[in-house]
Amino acid sequence: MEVISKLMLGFSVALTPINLLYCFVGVTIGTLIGVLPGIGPTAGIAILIPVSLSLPPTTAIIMLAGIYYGSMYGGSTTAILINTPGEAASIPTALDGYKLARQGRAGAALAMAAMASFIAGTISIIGLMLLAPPLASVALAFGPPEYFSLMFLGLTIVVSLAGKSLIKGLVSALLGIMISTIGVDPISGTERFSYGNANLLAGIDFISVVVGLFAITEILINAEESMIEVFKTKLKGLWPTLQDWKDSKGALIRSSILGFLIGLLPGASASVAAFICYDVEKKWSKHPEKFGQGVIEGVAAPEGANNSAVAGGLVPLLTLGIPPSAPLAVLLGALMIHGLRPGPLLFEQNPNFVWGLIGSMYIGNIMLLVLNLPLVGFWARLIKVPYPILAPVVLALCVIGSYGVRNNMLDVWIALFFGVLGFFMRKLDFPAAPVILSIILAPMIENALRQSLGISRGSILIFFTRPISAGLLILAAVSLTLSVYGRIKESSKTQQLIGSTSDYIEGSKK
Amino acid sequence: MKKGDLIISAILFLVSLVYVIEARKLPMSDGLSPGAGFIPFGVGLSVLFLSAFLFLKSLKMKTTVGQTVFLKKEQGLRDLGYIMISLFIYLVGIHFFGFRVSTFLFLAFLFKSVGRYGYAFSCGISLLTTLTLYGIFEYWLEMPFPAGRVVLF
Amino acid sequence: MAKISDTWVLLVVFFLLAIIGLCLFPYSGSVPSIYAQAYPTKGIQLIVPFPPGGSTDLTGRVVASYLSKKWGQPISVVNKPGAGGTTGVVFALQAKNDGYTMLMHVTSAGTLNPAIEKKLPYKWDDPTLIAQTNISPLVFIIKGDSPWKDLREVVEDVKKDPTRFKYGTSGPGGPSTFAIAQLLESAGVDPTKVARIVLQGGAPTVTAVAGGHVDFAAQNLSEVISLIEAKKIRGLAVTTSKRVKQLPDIPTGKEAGFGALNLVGWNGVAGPPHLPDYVIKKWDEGIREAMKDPHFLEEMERIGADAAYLGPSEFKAFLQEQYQSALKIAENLGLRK
Repeated sequence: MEVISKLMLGFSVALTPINLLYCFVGVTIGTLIGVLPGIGPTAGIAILIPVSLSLPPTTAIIMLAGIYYGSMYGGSTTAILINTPGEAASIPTALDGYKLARQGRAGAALAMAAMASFIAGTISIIGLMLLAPPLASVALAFGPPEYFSLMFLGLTIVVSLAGKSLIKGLVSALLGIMISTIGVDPISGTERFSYGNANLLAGIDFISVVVGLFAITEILINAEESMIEVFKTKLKGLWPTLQDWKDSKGALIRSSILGFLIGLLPGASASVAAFICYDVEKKWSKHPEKFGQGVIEGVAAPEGANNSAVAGGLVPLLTLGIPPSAPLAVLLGALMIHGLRPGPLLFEQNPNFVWGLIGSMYIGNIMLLVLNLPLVGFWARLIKVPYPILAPVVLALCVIGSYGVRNNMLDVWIALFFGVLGFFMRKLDFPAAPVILSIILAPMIENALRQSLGISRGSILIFFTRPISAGLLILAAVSLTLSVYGRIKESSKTQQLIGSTSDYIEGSKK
Repeated sequence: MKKGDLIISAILFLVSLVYVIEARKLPMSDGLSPGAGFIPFGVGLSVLFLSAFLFLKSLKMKTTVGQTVFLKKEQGLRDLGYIMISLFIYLVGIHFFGFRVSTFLFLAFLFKSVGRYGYAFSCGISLLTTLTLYGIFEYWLEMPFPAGRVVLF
Repeated sequence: MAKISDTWVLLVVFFLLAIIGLCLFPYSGSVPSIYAQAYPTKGIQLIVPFPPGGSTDLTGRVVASYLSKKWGQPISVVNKPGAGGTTGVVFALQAKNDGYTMLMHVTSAGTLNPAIEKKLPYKWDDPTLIAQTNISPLVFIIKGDSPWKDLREVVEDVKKDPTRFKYGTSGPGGPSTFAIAQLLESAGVDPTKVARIVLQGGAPTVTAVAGGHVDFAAQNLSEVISLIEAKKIRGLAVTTSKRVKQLPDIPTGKEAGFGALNLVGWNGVAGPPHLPDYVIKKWDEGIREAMKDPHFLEEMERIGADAAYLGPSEFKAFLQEQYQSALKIAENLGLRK
């Protein structure tokens, strides 16, 4: 097949010493950026663009792309170890991964995360290779009504994430929406809830909220419990068991494919893909109520998804020059600076570059696996560093991370605010994940709603008459139904076990 | 936890009330499509109702078995306080004294008070860490940290 | 256990250390340079009021890279995105006017936002305007397989029934808004009758045209180029007075029959108010020299920017003209709040 010969060409480019070196540099930096709370691949790529200017174009892009998918490996590390997702895309990983770590199974979780990332990454690159041009036209068919329906589908996951009290889950989600409305309204330009403060005008960046609600809150909660005993459980072995693999194999396949497809849709970032795949896995599972308590598939699915979303995102970027997410927008800028203009002509005029990049992604994934697996032992032991030393350093990193998003101290204050707020939320059983999910999705939903109604001149029918949009809404309805059904089953089971309404019992501390 | 729920739902009610009032000041319609105030109004209203519901529900709740104390252990409370307050001071410090000095002080303080290590150890590790962070972020990655002595917002 | 007093002692000692530290360790940007001839004597921050990867950011990086090589001092791009450029501009305006914090200025923040937003925290002529670095032509685009053959046909169809059409724009004050309004007004069509769909940024706007979700738009050259080459969209006219090198087949507005089209995107360097003369002169000279450097020109072309120099007084005059045009359109469209 022609593709194979092109791929061989790609490998011949990717395997040159300089490209190998910078691929390694990129994925390593990416991993570190992923581990660091706050700063994500967007800032990471931007910071390293000047460095890349002294490199030949192909090498430069290989390095910058490596940062992106590398960060998806790194984000899971801190998510699992200290419930501090380095990226929003690692939040679902933290839900089960951290529980596993507390049970002494950090090694298995970390290793599974690395493997899932590798498998999904590889599968999705194959998808990129074979399906790029036809899939690109799917990206174009997505207009405001389709975005609305897709994001709406994403929002229905909130029901799934709500934990014990649906009301509190809904309140969390609505709070997220309220927070996202602060700032300039992107459609009419009107100021909302910012009272003339030039910094608030810029809105609340969700990364600061993630840092606050997960990282800082976690430390505060642990502080209150006891600073000494956070990770007392003995490390139960470093690798996933055979049972783990059996449990996860379905999740791996599903999240690879689904993550890839979601990643290529403009607007849908790796984090959206991770959330959706986590939820799909939960609904598919025979024991959904165990999700959130430490299920290995709960790590495999989102980790696979966020990596395959990267390759998916490259489809519209390379074929049409449309970046479906923020880090890819920066990568697009890098491409332009290096004189590589994305588009179908790119494949024809610069086959060395395109296939070299694809080849290097395979290699990069292998490098990351090799890099991360032995590190599992290192990380698992790192958390044995006395918590009173670890925690302040993490706090300092949180400050750096949230500052680095927009070089604005306001973001650090916001992180602090949400850190304290998150403490109380945790104590009172208000789940944190819906807040983040809403902050990410609400602006897109609101914009898409208003744009669509503008296009249809006020008619709601537009969401239902367009096939893709209608299809997505049906999926959303299905998802909602399944989630609600799941909750009813769950609470009736608990009722049978305990004999009184679960509301009155103060449940688990976390 | 009854008391906590009561307080939080009351706070939520007030916050959403203010939010809704402010939202009403925004335009509801842009002509053909919803305006800037549409979603905020709807969302705020929902939170208003939900928090009222929550409030009433927690009134009805019996304070039953298994209710954990809100803040356990005096030790933990003190540690918590140290962290929260020092974080606050740390951020203020960055505004006035800049990143390097503030980070050093912050880390050393926490190592000493929460970690209960000695002065020398606390300062030492703090210095090491601060220098490392400086080296990575301010020097190598050239991140523009606030210079201090200028209140930035 | 006397824990509390321990901590107090610690705090006092540390505050003393802090004060010593303050004196010993200089921070970047804290000590102004005394010698004008030697400017710059240390690193400069170039504020870009938009996120990395956008056209302003790219332009800023090209300029920074050239000038830092020329002057032997690092010029780092600092992104301060938010509020359509307002956050970054306000930050730069409030910075010390010692020439070590400068601004990469752009159309939206420079002339369009001031035209729309009555309560904007600054006026168009608040920054010290130094030099223009490039023009970004706006391109009128339609879907690739659309039946319209030229700009005149589009305007005619719209004139017949404006309410049937919708155009996309990259933000409430996006270039599309103004360019389309200018186009329609010059043909006697009321632009408020056409549905204005506000999208988030240039890329989604161009995508929306390519996907047929909106009928037309006018966006920056760098944003439209890939899709034009991919034949997913077609360009009908450019708003500059000469044809654009990268798209030689697209007529100018004048050639297409609409001479009134004069709104263009632009980038330029600016600084806080009351910038010292030597700073202005240095940057002005730097940009002027850049225009002669083939490497600089090549990089600008790659990012879709049309390198074009205007000195301080001409830059200001140009901005005033653009601002006045935008102001008129904003008021007519009822956009000015």
